[in-house]
Amino acid sequence: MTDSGIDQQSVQTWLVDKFAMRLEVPAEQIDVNMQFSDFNLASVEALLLAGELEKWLNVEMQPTSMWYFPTIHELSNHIVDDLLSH
Amino acid sequence: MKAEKFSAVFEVNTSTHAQETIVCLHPGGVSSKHYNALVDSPNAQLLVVELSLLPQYQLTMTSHEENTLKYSMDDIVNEVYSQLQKYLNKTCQKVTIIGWSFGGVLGYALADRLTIPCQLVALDSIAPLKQNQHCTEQVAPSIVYKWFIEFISAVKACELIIETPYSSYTQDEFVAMVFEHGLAQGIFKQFDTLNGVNKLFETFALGLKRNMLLSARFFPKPQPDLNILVIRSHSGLQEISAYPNCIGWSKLSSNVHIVNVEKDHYALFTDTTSLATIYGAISVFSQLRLRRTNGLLNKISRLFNK
Repeated sequence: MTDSGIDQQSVQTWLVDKFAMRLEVPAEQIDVNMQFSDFNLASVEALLLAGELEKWLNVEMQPTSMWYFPTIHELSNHIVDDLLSH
Repeated sequence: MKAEKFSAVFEVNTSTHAQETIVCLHPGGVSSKHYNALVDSPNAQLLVVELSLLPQYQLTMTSHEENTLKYSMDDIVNEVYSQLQKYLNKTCQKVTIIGWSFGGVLGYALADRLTIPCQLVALDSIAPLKQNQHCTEQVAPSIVYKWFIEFISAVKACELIIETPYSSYTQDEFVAMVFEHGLAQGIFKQFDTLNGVNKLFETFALGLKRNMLLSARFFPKPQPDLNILVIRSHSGLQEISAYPNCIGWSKLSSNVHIVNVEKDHYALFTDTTSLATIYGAISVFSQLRLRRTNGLLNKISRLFNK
């Protein structure tokens, strides 16, 4: 957990909820280990989401982040371990 | 590096004994699913290359501040060539490369690299010439703003109408205006945010800059015998005054034909009428034998430029 009290689980839950909203499906249907490319989420929607995430956590994500960390689980870990801890 | 596990090549249509392969080089922006309509050519193998999955493309530039490119056109074409080798049928005797925008420039480089006879469809793509360099090295913010509006309209399948003059706006002012108008016109949803639209614009501008720098620093030799079909949008990204019709391709090949379609650079991919014209032109073009066939080229002209 970071100083701000945000841990991997809270980031993951946030992402799951946002994906569910944009895909218009229940959150239970979002597999955190599924590759982003396998969600039927247009790249434009993913970028809109990334901007929202940056604002929430006050971090800057590289354009390649969702490419290097291609699942909700991996991206959550990256955000907490690499971005929020610095 | 995790990126290495990705393959950028997707075999959309498998035809084991096909003698022709269609390779679509897709630089991103709009969905590559539009190429799927090409599977109407059942006798051709169809491969789509998602350039965004290539490390050499994706990591070429990750910051606006830098003007140096981590990778060159040669690096990218070598990677595409290498990945294609795993997919190309042994029976393949002809490759039709379809490249939209930057994909057309990369397609020209790939045609030179492949040993199998090729032809190129340059889909609203500006030829990589020194004379065009000024058009691709630096672009005014107001032009990027215009392209972004066209891009949003295409990917959201709804024209974003902005009547306010915005050419003197700062980036922040412009993005805020796009967000406001997009929300009012139902293009953005209530749960979308200004930060999200800002991220979208930043990434759009970064990708544009990368593609322009790669093109501006690539000076290929002519391939006089390469058949090139240039498909031009109603209003391309740049007007090339020196070559108003062929966008410069006739300087690289003596076998160039031009087809015009309605709609802009982005909408030509999402508009059904434009797509029908494009697929029709490609269908006729792919029947070309790999030598000069002016009769057939004239037929294309009559069909699509009435």
